[in-house]
Amino acid sequence: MPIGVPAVPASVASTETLKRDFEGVYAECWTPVFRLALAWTNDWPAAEEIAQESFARLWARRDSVDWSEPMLPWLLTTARHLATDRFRRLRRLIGQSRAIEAALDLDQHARWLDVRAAFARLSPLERAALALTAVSGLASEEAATTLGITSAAVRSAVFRARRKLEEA
Amino acid sequence: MNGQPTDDRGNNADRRIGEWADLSAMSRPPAARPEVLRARVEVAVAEQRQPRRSVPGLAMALVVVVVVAGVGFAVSRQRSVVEPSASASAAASESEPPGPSASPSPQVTLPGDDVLDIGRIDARSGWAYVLSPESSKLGVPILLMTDDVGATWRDATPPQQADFQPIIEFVDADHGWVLDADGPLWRTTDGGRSWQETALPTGRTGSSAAMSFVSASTGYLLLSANSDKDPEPWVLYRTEDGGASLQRVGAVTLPDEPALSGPLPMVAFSDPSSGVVAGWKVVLQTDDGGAHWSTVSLPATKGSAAPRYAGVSLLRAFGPQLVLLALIGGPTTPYEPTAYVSADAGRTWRPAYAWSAESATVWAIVDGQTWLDFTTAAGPMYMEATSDAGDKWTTSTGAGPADRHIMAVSFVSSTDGWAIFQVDSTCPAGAFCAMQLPAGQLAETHDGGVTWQLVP
Repeated sequence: MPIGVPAVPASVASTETLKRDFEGVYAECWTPVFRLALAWTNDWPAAEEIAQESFARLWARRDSVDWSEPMLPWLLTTARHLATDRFRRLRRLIGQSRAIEAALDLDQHARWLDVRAAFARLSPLERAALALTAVSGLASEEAATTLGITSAAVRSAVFRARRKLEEA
Repeated sequence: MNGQPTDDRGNNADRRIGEWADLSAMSRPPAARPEVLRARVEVAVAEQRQPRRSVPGLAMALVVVVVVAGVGFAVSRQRSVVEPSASASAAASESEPPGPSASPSPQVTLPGDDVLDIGRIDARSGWAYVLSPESSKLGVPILLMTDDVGATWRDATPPQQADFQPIIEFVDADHGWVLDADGPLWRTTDGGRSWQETALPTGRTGSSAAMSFVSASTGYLLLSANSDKDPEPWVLYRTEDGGASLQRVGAVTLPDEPALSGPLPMVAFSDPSSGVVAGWKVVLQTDDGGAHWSTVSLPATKGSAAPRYAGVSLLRAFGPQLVLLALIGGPTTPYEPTAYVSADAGRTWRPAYAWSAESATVWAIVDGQTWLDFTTAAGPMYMEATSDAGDKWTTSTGAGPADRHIMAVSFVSSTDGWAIFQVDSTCPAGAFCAMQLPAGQLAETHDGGVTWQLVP
């Protein structure tokens, strides 16, 4: 499972350089990371939490990260693991009510509830494959690396997802 | 990446995908809070200029191998895993652990607010899964153990640290197992002072796995497949030598994609023969060590329709007595947690209690009869306790640390237990709340949760 961060034995970067590098990755990668988490969970607040936690883990490893490498693959894989972890946490903290999606106005929130219901017919894997390919534009091989499955499985999941949405 | 949905929205699927893409693009990254980031960097840099305390478990740093392929890359950690043969069993691979006579593990300070999970083993022993307090490892989880009720702690992290919360199980203060999402299975016979590694069978992963040991030698692992093309998504393995080798029992049929669709499956065995698998939408029971399984029906609570079992929140076995905390409902309605109890190794069940889905409740299952639950909202902490498997309950109000809520508990008796208390805080609007993961401070009680003291 690809979960390492590209590492270099480089000297410790300066404070400002680290901060600039991190903020650049943060701004560039937030949306695809959030989208994968949203696809996996179908839960807006949980997806934001998972996306933030993914970046937190990257920040925790800032000193060993080669910031010249693309960070998105690692962030996506981390988000996927954290999304799975979320269900494990559900075992011990159950029934916790969540805030209404603050990022959306009332009309958007109503639309989101409708879209979420349609996407609830899909499995998390199908939603994730769809989000990575049809929405974020990854090739099936790249999505396969992120999801830890074969590219054929990605294409199959996307096919099933589209078929279910047709019927939704 | 183009970040755009497909332009062809001539059908329902494309329209839905377009709506999803439009709405999901409205999530904005909270602004990074410069003063927080800067402070953390300054602390880290300052500490790197000074000699750092050596912690053996942490010194075994992960080595990463980077493979760049096109615009993406694949990364894997180097490890000394002996791939099992294609046969049905997995063999152990000793990883040259230090023996019990090796120099004792140095004491480690329990990090204040970074306790992720806890487990009381007996009256004196327990473990805590925490984020490392080492500045260079901030955010990296490690396993700590205590032999004196939390007075002192030692690093008991397996040689290969888990990046994600592993399954941790101890049957006594010496014998325990850690199963990470990536495997292998780590086992200890000396309370985490040394660890031995057992490679998982080819094609199997510890991700979404479940584990149940009935003794220091006998246990079961329910392992998922690495590939969704595998015709056997779930396979049960048995060990009779404490995890040194895993013998395939057989495939377990669970509904499609349980690992991805909801709460993960759990397994609990009453004895070497009788056990239960609670999966996604189905509960199975066996009396022949997993060779054959029967579907179990859960009765409805009084006055309600037939329950729609969605998944498992907790499953524990105490001999023939089993306790199942089931999630009823979902996925578009809130899960209604309901407790079921069995006195015949899981063949039949009766409902014991149902909770409101709006409350955040944590459970402590002391044994088959004695359970406690704790709920904190904006006000005081409410406690319920039963000593007769849910027939009668007593309700009281407890006093936890101010401005914190209880997020996990582990009890060894009706009076003595630990809890993790998390600071009640919401992320300020526009702030980057980097450490918002569920973590808090360890506290102990000796009066059944009425009063709590933070463990320094």
